[in-house]
Amino acid sequence: MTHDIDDLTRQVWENVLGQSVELAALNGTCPNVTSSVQIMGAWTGTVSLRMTTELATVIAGSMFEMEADELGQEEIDDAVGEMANMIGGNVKSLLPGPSQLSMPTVSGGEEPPHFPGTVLGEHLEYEVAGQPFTVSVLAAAGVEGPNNHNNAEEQS
Amino acid sequence: MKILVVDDSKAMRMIVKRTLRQAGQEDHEIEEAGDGSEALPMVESFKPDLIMSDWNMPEMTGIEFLRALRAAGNNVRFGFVTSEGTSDMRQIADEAGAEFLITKPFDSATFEAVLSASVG
Repeated sequence: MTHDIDDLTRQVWENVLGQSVELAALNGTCPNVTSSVQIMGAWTGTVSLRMTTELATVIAGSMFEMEADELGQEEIDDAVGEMANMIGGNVKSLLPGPSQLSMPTVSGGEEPPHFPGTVLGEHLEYEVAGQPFTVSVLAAAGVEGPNNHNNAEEQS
Repeated sequence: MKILVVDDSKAMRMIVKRTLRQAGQEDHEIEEAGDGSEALPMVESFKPDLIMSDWNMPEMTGIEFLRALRAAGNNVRFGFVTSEGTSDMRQIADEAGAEFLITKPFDSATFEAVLSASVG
């Protein structure tokens, strides 16, 4: 599952934004933008992306073909939400079905968002254009997979 | 040819239009809508030859939009451009009357291959 999520994440970055990504530890850098989608059905959980404001702006600039100073918050939220939609939709295809994909939500803040009642299953960290980017897949507690961490605490 | 692009993401609508140009479809007239409820009256006014629609949208999803068209007797060529490409969704799309389902992310070669039969 980790390999498949890594593959699809790389494909999204390379096909949509023309940028390669490398797996890399965050090393203290702090993402402060989160975009996520919920998956509900045969498998229930959340796919959450985290990135810095700078990387969110790069994503929006590439999608809209606009310079950073031309972008408004609406464009940035749209672009990072669409990233969650693409990565989340492809993760959904790896999981048991049928299920439904929610509309993406975008939020800010240095603390990772809380998804009550979920357990972290997968967490991949990348460096993109010198910025951190993470993909996390959280399963609803009691739902099997993907690869629920043995000692992970349920988010309350 | 007239193409209606339907997606709640303005960024994705721009990417679809850009990829259509890259796939050699730059001579077509293209209009946009943000979801099925916005697109439905545009089908009457714009009269597209082809609709390329996302699946998951607010107000009216892509599959609801397609079913509304077919229920009204409109057999306009319709294809999905969506992040969700599971076999069950492809079956649902096919049964509802979609000609194709392209998964995101996509490239111009995919558009060229799929659209050559639809657009001509």
